Amino acid sequence: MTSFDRINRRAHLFLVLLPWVVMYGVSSFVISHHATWFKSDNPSAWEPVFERPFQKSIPEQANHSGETNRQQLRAVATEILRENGLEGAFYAERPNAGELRITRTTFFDQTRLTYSITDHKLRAERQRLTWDQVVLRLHTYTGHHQPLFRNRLWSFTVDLTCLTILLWIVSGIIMWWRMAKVRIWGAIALGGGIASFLLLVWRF
Amino acid sequence: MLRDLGLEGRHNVQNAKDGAPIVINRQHALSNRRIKFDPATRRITVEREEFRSLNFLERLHRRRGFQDPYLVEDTWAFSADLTMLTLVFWGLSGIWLGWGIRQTRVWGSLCLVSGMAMFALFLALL
Repeated sequence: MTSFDRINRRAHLFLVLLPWVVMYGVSSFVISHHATWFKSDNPSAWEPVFERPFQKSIPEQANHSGETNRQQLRAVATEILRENGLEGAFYAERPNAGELRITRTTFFDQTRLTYSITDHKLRAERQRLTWDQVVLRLHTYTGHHQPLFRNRLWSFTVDLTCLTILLWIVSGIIMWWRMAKVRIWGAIALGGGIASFLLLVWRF
Repeated sequence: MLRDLGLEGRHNVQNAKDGAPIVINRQHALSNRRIKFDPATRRITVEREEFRSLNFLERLHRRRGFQDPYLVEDTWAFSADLTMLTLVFWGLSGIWLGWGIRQTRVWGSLCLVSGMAMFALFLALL
């Protein structure tokens, strides 16, 4: 049992994911009060980066909805980003039949590439994010479907953070149960927490 | 209408024009309700959305408060705020506790610094 306690305590101590835990705590608070306390007045303006002739054939399927067509669209967008030295996380859309729009995102800015299929031109504009947008992006960023390894590695650390929080909770309960002096007050706190949660879910 | 039905709570209304039915979506953590009132026939129907565990979890995750005049909403939002503060406190108090254990101070510091370095690297690269 001593060895279990030791591993338990060391797991609490040696997990390197503290910045993620703090980031999710702070960003959740900002999101919860975004409309009232934290909303920036104006988003930054889009600044032109380049506009140049560009040739790319867009498969017909990429013009329609559906999973296969979405993948076609992403494949073309990945190629365009690679050919312009802008590989990384993005989302792509077809605002109309004559255009393909790719938004390449980072934590601090986003670059919008608009490819005119009829004029064969590629235009790039960049927008700096306001501080509250940065916080929102940190909170909502997912990388599983993105092209680069480092995007997926971020998602892996997020998964680890979720597991860490669950481990903290379960191991916290085990550690508390071993402390006979605070068992009653702990049980009242735990029972009160579970009861108030269930009540809120039921009444919501 | 919601008060009369005993279904008061967070909701949105799809606007009815030219005597078309009024549709109220009453949001609920477990399963949403759709209330449809047809002024022409003066009939009201209440439908309950089928419970799906993933939808339920997502609703709990996205649920906010302080925007509607309902105590239960504000209580939920307040408890969510407390949870966020607790999370940050848990994390930061861990540094304090870890520093107090002399035997593990070096390894603990190493873990903390490497975590912060990894996070900073992600900020720079992504």
